[in-house]
Amino acid sequence: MRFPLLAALAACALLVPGAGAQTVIHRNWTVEDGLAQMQVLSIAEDRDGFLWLGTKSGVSRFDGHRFESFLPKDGVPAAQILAIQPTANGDVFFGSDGDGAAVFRGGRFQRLPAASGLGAGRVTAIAAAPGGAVLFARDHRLVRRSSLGRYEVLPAALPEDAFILSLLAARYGVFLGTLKHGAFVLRNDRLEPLRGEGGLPGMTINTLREAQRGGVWFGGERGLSLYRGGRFELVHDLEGPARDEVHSFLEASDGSLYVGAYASGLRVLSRGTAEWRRIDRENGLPDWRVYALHETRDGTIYLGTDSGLTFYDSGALESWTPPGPTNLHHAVWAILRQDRDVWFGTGSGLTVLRDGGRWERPERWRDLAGHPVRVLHRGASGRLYVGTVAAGLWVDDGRRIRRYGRTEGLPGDMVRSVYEAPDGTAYIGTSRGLAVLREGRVETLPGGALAGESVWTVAGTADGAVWFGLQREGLARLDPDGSLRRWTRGDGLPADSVLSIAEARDGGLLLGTPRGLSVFRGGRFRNFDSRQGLTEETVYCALEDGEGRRYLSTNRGINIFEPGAAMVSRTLLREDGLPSQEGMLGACDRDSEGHLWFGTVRGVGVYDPGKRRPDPIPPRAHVTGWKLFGKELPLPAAGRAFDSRESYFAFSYTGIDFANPGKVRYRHRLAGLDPDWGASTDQRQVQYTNLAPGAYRFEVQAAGEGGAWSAAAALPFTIRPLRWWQRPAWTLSLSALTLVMAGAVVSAYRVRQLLAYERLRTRLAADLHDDVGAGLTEIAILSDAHPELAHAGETARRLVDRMNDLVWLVNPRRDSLRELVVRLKSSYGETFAQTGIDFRAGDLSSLEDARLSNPCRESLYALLQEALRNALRHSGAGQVRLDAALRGRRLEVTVRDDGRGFDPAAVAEGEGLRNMRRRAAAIGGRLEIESAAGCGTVVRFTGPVGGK
Amino acid sequence: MIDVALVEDNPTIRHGLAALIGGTPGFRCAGSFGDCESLLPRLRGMILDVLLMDIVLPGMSGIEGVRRIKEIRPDLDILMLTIYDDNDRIFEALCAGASGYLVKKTPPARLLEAIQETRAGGSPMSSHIARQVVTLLRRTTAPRPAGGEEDCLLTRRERDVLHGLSEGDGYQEIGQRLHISADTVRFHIRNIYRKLHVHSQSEAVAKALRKGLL
Repeated sequence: MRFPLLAALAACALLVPGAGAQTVIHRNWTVEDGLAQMQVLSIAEDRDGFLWLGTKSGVSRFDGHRFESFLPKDGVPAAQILAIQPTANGDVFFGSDGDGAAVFRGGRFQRLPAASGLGAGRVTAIAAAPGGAVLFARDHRLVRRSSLGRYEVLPAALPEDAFILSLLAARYGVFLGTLKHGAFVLRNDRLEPLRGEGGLPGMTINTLREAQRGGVWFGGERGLSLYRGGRFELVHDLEGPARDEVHSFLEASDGSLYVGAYASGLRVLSRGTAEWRRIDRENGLPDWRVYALHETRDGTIYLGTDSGLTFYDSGALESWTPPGPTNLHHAVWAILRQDRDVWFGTGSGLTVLRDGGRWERPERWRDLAGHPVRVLHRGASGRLYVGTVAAGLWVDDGRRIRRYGRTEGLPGDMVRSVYEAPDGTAYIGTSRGLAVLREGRVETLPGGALAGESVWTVAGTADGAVWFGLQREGLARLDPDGSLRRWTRGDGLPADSVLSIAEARDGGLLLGTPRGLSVFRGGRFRNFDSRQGLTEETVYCALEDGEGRRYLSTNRGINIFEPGAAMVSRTLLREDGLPSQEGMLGACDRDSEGHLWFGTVRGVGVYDPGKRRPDPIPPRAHVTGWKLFGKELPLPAAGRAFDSRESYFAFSYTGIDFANPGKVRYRHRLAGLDPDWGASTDQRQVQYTNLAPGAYRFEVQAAGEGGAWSAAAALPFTIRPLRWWQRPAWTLSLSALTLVMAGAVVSAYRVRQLLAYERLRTRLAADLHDDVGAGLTEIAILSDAHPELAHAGETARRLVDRMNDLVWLVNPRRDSLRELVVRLKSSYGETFAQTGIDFRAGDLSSLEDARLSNPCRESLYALLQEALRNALRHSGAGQVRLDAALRGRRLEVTVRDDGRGFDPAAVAEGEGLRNMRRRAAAIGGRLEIESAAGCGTVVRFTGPVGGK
Repeated sequence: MIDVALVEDNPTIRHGLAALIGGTPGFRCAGSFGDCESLLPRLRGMILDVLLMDIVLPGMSGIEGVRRIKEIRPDLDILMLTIYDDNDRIFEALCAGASGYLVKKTPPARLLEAIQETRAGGSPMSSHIARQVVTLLRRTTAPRPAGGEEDCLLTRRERDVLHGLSEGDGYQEIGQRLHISADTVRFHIRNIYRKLHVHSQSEAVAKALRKGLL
């Protein structure tokens, strides 16, 4: 009966996606991220550094953060976009499979003139030709656009049924690849066929690229060939049983070759290697078909597939997940590199990865089968120590394996850490105390020291000392002379629990604790926690790379400190290739090649600090939008003038950095107001208000991983002084207050400090609420006994409600639009019912996923409260409806009543309404009020979700 | 006559509530205590219908108190006293066996009404709590085969009530939609609480609560 069970287990293992395979692709963007359509057929980068993506329906522009999409209604050809060609003057041409070509110029799409012959039909390839000309493949003909914008159809033509698939204007001439008719070259205005003599990769040529060292790459139905010196050489034939064709190709600036296949993923020949490596769905590629390949200016590779845009980061972590059906199989507690093999201690026992490809349960250790393994340690003596969670310690001295448990004198069977000192003595930390293994016998330290204290970790340092991280009693050090010294929180440790110990290059100790990292050096502890930017304070494991960079494994990714840095410099997260952000206690290691291994609850991530991109190119900064009172102003609009009543500006900007999408930092200043650059932030919007008359210039810079600031993007404008009659008395006093809006204040901090600040704010609000809320409740109850104090009681109760709102608003977990609507509904439902008004809210089910940022939530909540209160007090309505809906990334919320209404033009706008408008503008939205006497009132808010 | 006792560490609130209850015809204040420890030994002999209980108390927490008291007096209705209703611990107390909760600042007349309603078998439930109940039941009951009921722990009607509450609807509105009275809505809520209490004794839920999954 054993066989069926095994078979079932094996079947399970096959079902786990990616289990046991190596994942190298970690980042993919789809329609959900804002891409126009799922199938990305063409990719190109424009003069300003934006990435343009052609899809089956529409195009998208990507800046590393977000997609701006353009559809046929915006002027994009209404067919699949097969070709994109940017020009040096900033234009971008698009060719479609059936609806002609178009150009993106001055912020919008225009169709090409009918006279060009490109207004309709198939424009399947476009190429930039020398001298600023652009060549278009229109069915079987070529159309040339001169740099002056004149179009001419070239006289040379292919046979009518020879459909052009690819086009390249190379140094050696213009090359054409066709469907089923082979390749041609344009010479003296004549198209001559190129005879491959067997080296041409088939008669269908899908892609043409200029080779860096001279020649032209041809990719087609039979593989990839290099054409050089008049001869073809087949370089790669997509080996494998299934016939497949090369659909896209790229020679990267580092000399690596990338081949996108039509049906079997990506092949890569890295520079300096001889073997093509296949990357497909097993390795994280979202789909089989690779339509387009592009290398960005900063040297990263982007792929277009049937399932969106994919980022291939050659500098990312590689990850491995041990095979097996359950979470236990995937959790990696211990890692040990042994030549070309890697041993893993997992929740399901010992697993070995042989030679980078094959998983195995070592036969020699079959008695250990089924026992979760927590410790793997190879001593200088050659002995291998395997510590288990419940079955004691197993020691292999090369001849035989011996097991030590409680019956052999270990204090407990849960082994947490082992360290073998140079003299061959092994220190064994268990959950019930420390033991010493010397010449095969289990002993205790002299005097039974630490024998009853739960140990997390044991480590030795170069000076011959042995260190112990204890669960409750801090840190202990055993000197070679046998003396024991101890440190606890009273001595400066951040916590009395020490989870991991590692020696730093400068002789210091890196201690992982539940309250951050503590660096122990020269008798003093220096502590790092969320204030220094740790994403999570429990440090499971800390280690240093060969250059002194420090890596901390936590529950939320790996935090990296550059040498000497006081703040976290960088974080490795799932998108960087970590299989899970949740680290495992004590599970990290540096191997002899300098690679860093991090165990997580779902496999292991391997980081090669040497592959880290130096990223010498700073991102390009752009001002992408500016708004006055929430109203979009046209760009470019340099030099515009405003009067000072109008001064509520929001600027949005972006930095294009495809090597680290989403991790760009910014700093900005308003020249004329800020003397210096502000602190760096990852916010992409800033607001200024109450600007005094004068000349201003908004400037923003961006920085990527390298830290160098880009050239500034700038937008100058002027604020005119008001005429005396326009000037209300109070504005002058306010003009001194400049940066008041949340965004601006926020931008003064780094985002990690912001997170800490956010937590503090939540806690403060909660504390405040508890105290003030209790006090106010007391007042309310006290005043109940005294009718003359009824008013005090009411006020106190009202204030408790206000506090309640405050606590709700600062709670970061209540961040969906749905919760906001539900809260309004439940807090106003009863009051409306008492007043006899039928109050309803529309369907909420679609709002679950709409997350609101904190400022957005606060403003929206206050604004809607005001609208509901107005409806309650003034409308005289029988029905009030609250509706919220998402249209793409835009949010629309309306409060509609059937009451008496008013004529907005005739009524002076009160403070309440102005406030609502201001709040809407503060989050980048707009407030409209529709009303007429006798016809009810509609208050409509529209704005971006998240406020940015 | 409803016999009410209360455990509240803030003396002003304790005395205020005791005076309110003791001074209203139809109610009797059976005792007021500053902590659970002083109530527990006297609980067995006490004539008592409803207990008002603070959540945060010195010594034994109100939640642990509910658990112990329910073991001694399973019949007792316990209402948790809280300053604000957006408190995650209310839900824990409900799982421990509380019948509902009262916001302390509730005006006297409304407060007394709520005690009466509880005695009559009704319970209040906010949309926040309703969502937590839905989440808990979904997370800890095994999924049924496709097409089957999602969780057979609750009746269809009870699920409808929970859904309405979690959308922020009032009792009136839910009642109208389901063609039942607001009182019947309260009755359903009471049953949901009871099932929640029974269900939350299970290991799966205990674990979910411990791990802070809710």
